[in-house]
Amino acid sequence: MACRRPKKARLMLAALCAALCLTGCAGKPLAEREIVRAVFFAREGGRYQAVLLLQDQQSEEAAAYRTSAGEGDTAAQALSDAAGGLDGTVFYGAMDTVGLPPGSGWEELRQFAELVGDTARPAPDVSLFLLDQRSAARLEETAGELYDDLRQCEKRYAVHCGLEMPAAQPDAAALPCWQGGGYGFAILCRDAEPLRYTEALRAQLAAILCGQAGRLDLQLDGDAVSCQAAVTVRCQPSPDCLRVQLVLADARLAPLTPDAPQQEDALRDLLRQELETAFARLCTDAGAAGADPFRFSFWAQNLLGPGAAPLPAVLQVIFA
Amino acid sequence: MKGNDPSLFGALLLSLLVRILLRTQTLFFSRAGLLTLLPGILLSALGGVLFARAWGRAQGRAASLLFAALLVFGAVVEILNLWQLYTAVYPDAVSLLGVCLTVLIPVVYLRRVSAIAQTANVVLGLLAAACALLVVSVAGRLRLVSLQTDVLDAAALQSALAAQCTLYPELLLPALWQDSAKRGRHTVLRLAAVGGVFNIGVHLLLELFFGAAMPQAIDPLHQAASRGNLSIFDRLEWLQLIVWTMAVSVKLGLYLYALTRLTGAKGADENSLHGLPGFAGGAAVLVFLCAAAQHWDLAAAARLQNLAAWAFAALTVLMGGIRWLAADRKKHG
Amino acid sequence: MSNQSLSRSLQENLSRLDGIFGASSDFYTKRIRLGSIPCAITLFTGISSPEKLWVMALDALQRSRVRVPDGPALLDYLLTESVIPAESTAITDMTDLVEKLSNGMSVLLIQGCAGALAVSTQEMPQRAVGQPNGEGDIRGSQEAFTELLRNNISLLRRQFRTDSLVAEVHTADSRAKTEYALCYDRSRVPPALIRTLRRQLAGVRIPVLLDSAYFASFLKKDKLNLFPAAAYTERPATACARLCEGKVVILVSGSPNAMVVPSFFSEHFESLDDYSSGAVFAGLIRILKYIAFLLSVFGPGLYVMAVSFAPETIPIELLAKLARAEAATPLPLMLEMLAITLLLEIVREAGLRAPKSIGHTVSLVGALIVGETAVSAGIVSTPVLTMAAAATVATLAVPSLYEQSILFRFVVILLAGVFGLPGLACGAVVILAMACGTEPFGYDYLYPLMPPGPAAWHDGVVRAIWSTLAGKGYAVDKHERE
Repeated sequence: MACRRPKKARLMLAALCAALCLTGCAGKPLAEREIVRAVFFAREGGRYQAVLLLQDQQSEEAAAYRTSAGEGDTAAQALSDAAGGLDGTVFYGAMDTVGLPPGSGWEELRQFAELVGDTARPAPDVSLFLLDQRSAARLEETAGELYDDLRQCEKRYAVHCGLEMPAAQPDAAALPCWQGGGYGFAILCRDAEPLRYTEALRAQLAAILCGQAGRLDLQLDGDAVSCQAAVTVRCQPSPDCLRVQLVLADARLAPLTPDAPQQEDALRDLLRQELETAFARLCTDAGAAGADPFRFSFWAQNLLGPGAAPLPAVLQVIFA
Repeated sequence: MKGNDPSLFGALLLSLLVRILLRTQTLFFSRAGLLTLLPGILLSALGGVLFARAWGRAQGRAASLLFAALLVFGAVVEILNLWQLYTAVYPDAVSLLGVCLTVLIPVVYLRRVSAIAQTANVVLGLLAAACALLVVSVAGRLRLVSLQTDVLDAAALQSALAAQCTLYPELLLPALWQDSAKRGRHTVLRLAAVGGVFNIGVHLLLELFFGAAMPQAIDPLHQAASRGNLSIFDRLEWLQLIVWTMAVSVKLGLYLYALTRLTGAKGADENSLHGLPGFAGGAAVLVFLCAAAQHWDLAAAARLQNLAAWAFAALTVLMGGIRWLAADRKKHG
Repeated sequence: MSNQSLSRSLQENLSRLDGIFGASSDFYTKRIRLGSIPCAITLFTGISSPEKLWVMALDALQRSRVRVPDGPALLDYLLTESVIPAESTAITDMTDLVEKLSNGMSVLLIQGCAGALAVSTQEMPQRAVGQPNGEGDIRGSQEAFTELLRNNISLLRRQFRTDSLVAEVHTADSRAKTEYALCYDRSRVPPALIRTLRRQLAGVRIPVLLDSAYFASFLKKDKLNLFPAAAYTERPATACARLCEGKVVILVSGSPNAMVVPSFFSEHFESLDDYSSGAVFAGLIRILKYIAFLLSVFGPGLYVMAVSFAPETIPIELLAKLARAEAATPLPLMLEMLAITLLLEIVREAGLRAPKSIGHTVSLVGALIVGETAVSAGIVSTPVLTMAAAATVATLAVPSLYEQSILFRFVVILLAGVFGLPGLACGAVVILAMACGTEPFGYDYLYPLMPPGPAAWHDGVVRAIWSTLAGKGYAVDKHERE
């Protein structure tokens, strides 16, 4: 018995070592990984193209990229085709931007989000953008520039549409659209035509109301006045209406032409007016599409009970 | 300072919480969950309390074996849950055998009640810190308007109640330690209450994060964690994964300890080191079972586990009741 | 050697001693006559002083005229009536005789008497009380224990001046019959602790006992556990502080390291200077030490795991640099980290064991080869070397956990390199379970850190100011007394 114990222990140790060797777990060297920074999708003639923007590991510069393109009948096939042409294993862990075809609808957007979510796991905090109209070949050519522009736009306007956002509401999804220099905004409704805003004020206000942006950075009155402000939204429901308060902090309004109003109060009035007009238009459009992208119904239902009709929304602009 | 009477409450709680954290899909929207929280807690606690009362009388070889089987089933489901999560996050990097070994090797050092209790308390602290970190890191992405305001119907409430009436094995385990010093007073009720509230908290967080898409999200908590950021640190979900894996190890330590008691080591000194070969044997069986069950639908397996737990508890209460009545008649006859 | 009684014949006793020690050149015997009774002095010249013997005994005996009829009466006279400061009890057997001689005493054998007289004339070659080598403290006493047990006890008693200090001297069951002392404060030590310790140490059978650390593994419950069952100190001041906490200090003859039991995890992060410097600074230093320990154990493993399995945890700018560095080296990352860590340990070991005159050369060559040549030759990468070196330096911040840090580091690197994230979690929980499973004499090893309570903030993770600490000082028997 005395000699059985160590024998048993040795046997267990040997079994453990063998098991460790046979686990089949293995990490991948970094050098064998293709680090993806962004993926851009395009659609031409019913086929999907995917362009992978890869970090150039041989270059000393951080902003040095390579690309790999692929195509297929579906977005997943295109992505797989693009990844298949590479030597190393594709690593999506550092990917932070996804560009989608400009004509994508509500259903398609959710599919793209799901595909990126499933394929790119573990993915970082990915930003979704609808791209502008450009051919797949041009997309591949300009992918690096486009990526830098999108990152710049995200930083400047504090705009971000995460992977979870398109599916957060049952009837509508919203995301920014890249339109060169600034961003537009698209509201994709489930059973209606998408709403697209290319004008800066409406696009930025829509993004702010959707909780996807936190800054106004635009020019008003036919480029006569520049406006920059950090914005937060507060909703105050009452039985007869919903007050949507737009709190503008660090607002900087400056006339750019001699004809523009010069007084601060006049500039603020101008901004207030423009915002109210844009807000009314956004509400009208959303109502016509039967969607509630800004979730105003949430407040009515909390106040008046489930199933209550949305309250009329009134915008209040507050300069902090 | 002297660790003569280690309480296993921390280990039981940790074991229950990790079950909730590793759930692959959410069960209900938080409004329905909140409305059915109290009855859910009371029903689960009632099941556990009745089982604990009846276990003393109903305990026999068959009952012990059934209980052991339930625990083994729970352990297998937990390991597979963890493995599936790792496979989704790190495809081709981690194998089932690798996950089994990494969660079972630490059990070698968890062969004593005091070690399980103390380790569980530390991991519980780490888990609380990790949860706080998770909330802080995703706080910027939580949107109040993501809460769903649909009209609640009877079906939604019923399904939320059914989901909350889960008889976790942890609610049955206190029956094995009749001595309240080993687990504290009102253990089952406290466990059910903390578990229920934590479950609602997790669902609320996820609903604020995912909104209407919450039911479709797979491994929702991990997904949310992977999208949080804190200062320059973008990806903190690996911290969550590490703590969850540690918690699973402690859970397996607790289960294997309970198994050694159920299979005959009851008379032994509770805080002495249990034999290494016994634990190694148990671990080997678990690895084998995990390999055999790797293709299971885990959501269905979890439902089956809950059903089996209720059936086992009901059977035990029935047996205990019959024996009590028989003993009472004998006493008066 | 059988445990024979002494013979009444002087000649026979001398013959037996001659049989045992005759071959030793330092064994000295001289026949003398006290009154009319033949006697013999025996001693070892190196450890016992004939001069002291003359001053303490022989001179006095020569001057006082001893008039006793026979040997037993002479022994009785010397033990009870004479002024000679002899040992209070007579030697009656050969084992005792040999032990006394080995301890440096002079023994007087008497014709016709089956007993002998021992006189303490020790004159051991000894090192002067110096400064501790391994425990750097700026303030407080700079004395260190030496190799002589009696001196060490007196160093302790000089600092702990109460009637409750007990120093029990026992002889270990070893070939060399080494003595050890159990020192404790009778009024603070839990009786069960000292009883258990006495019993456990008495049961230790060991061929050779050269250091108090030899006892450590005998005191462990779980032999698979790598955490130390005891703490060690070279400083009488530290030992004294531990005595105040109701702990037991074990001194072993020939060793300048005192063992303290029971020992808790947090003690490895404490030092004498903590209590001399300000509470805020001391707290900061303790937190830094905890961080250093975590870095030394998990740092390299975390790096291997992050780069090989979870690169998404690394910021992209750093990731590209790491990828370039990794591409330039031939070894897989885990092997590279293991090799560098191993090499650093070899350099450290060589520097430690090499004669002092070439120790610096070893370090220099090691640093040059590892730090410069290997990197420039592309054998190892700079990030790996940086991480391994940082971990090695961090280890030195908690020197008493050096062995554990190194062993754990290798295990964590292996687990993280093979399994990735679950491997790292496995390493963490194994180490945690080891710490939680270490129960020195039934006490929680993680006290006062776990279970969490005010004690952790009084003198655990950080330390409170002295005015608070003075009233809250803890002792191991606190619960028992409550």
